[in-house]
Amino acid sequence: MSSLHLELKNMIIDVLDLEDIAPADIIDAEALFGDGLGLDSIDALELGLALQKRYGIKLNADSEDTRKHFASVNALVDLVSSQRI
Amino acid sequence: MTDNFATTLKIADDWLAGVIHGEQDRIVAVDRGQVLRREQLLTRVRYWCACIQQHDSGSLWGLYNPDAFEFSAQLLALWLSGKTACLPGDNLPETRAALLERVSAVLGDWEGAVTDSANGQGVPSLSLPAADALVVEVYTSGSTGAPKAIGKKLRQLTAELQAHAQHWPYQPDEVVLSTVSHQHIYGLLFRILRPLAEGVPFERRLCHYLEDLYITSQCYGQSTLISSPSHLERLPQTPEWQMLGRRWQRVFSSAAPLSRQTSLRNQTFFGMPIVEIYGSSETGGIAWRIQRPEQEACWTPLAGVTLRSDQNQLLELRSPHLPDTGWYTQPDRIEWQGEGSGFLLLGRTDRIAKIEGKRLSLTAMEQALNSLGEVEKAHALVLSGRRDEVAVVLQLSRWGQQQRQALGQHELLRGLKAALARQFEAVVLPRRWRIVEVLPWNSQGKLTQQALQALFAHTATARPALPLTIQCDVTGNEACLQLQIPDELLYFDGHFDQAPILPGVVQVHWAQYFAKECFAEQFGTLGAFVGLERVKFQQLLRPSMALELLLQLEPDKGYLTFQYRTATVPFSSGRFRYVVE
Repeated sequence: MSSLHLELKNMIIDVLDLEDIAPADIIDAEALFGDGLGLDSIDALELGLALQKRYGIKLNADSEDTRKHFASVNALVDLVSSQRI
Repeated sequence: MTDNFATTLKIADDWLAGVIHGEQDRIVAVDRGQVLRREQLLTRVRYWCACIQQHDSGSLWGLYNPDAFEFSAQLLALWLSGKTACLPGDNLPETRAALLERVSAVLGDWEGAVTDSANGQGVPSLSLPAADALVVEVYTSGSTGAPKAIGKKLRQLTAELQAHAQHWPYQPDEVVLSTVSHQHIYGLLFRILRPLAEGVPFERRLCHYLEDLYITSQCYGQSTLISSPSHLERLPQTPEWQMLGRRWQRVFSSAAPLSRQTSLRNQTFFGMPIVEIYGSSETGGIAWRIQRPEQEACWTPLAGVTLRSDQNQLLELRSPHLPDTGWYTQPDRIEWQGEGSGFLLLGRTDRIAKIEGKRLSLTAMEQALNSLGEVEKAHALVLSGRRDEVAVVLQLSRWGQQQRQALGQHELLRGLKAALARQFEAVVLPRRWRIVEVLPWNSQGKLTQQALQALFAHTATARPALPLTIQCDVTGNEACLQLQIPDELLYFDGHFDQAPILPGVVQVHWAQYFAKECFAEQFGTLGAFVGLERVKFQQLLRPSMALELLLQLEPDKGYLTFQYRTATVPFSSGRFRYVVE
């Protein structure tokens, strides 16, 4: 697990106030929404806000594109590393 | 803040005729700035009429379609073919199964929906429904737990459209944007039917995500925003959003109570009024208010709605939005604020909860849980912390206890949640669970809210047990973490009230915790823990401190070395030793 993976997992747990879940319980490639971690549409809104606040990521493109980056921790890592200076 | 739109607009009783026979090149919808005219809508309406009329079936049809333009065409086609459109709130498998027991066919985003194929060819008849025709059924959670279908006659919808247009007519130069679905009565009226009846275009796409709202809003000079507290509470307060918000002439909020704070913050920041609508699927719109800085704003009945309260403060109403002229009891308690000044809402009297705007019968959720083999008895409740969430207290069956031992609690709960997900939308699924030997009945044999909430008490305050990880860099067997110690950390309790300091044992525990996270693979190869060596606590760690944690793993020697420090000061350090195989 890379440092950014851990950082983002901690962010997810912290921002969404998830109970009984440790970073190691979140599988890098597993779906965050629906079947995997089971996050919902309100969580998606919260995560978007947290990414803007913490990493200055601008989610101003079409959601069909940006939401691909929300599919898994791996996808989030790609998004943050591509936009972080 | 006052609402400055004085012009009133009268919607004719036969507004639907106008939707079909009005000017052909009138813009009825927009797709991110691209216009869709009435003739395009009517082409789709005729197409769907032909499909529907060639399909030999009864009068009830299911309709679920996230595309507002196609949805409108399909809805109108059902009406012009003499059908009733059943509008479920989602297209989950259980919803589909329940729907298929009632309807003869489904349109839209479903498996097995009626689509093009050989249909859609013939010349359909287009006959306008009578005012008393049952045109839609909306679905909602009933207090008994069973989903409830609520029929609406065209007359009821027309009365409601007329009332809204009288209070707040849409303006000819604006576009109607929405963050809420049209599968519920609020979205159906405000996002689809009002724009059609008032001749104002609606945006085809739903703006659930903030980035959609951002780019879609930018396409239009002026717009009205149909929204809900879930979105309004999360609007970014940044300069670029403030610029964007100037394009919103007015915002509507419904589906759940909007907090006074959120309303005032957004009205001030974006400079537009937020009109809150109070109503329900059963009653349609009941009352409205715009929050004011001076004091909590009261609710005012909508035009044509008559209200009273019984001796228990229960709300009763007569309204043209209801199916008949009798008094209807709404399970909300209200408090009148004197002659002509409206009322305050005090809360519901049944077990229907609102979770981020989604209505949920807690009874239904308990019934669903109780029907599972693992569950002896379940009780569901609502917690309001950072967001509204459902919590469940469970008494396991014997089988459930065996499963818990075999699979672990995590997997057991995951299975229960998956079972619920077939029937309930993700937003209302329980996020917190407590497994108890026996539910906390009191001596009168009652489960009190107090006793149930006490089981979740430590989550309500959400005391962290770990520092915040600001940054984490791992290179091979070395890691450097930037940490921030929270003020409200669990471990400051009783460790000393006057001058809290971080206990050494916690520092050691954190070092090992982060080492496992950072060096997951290598850590697994280490032998048994032997002991701690060279432990030094040089400086005290206090609340709010920011510091570095350096970790170094030497698997061949069986060492894990840690050091907490700032750029200039070492705080503590030590070494874990493990058996080397």
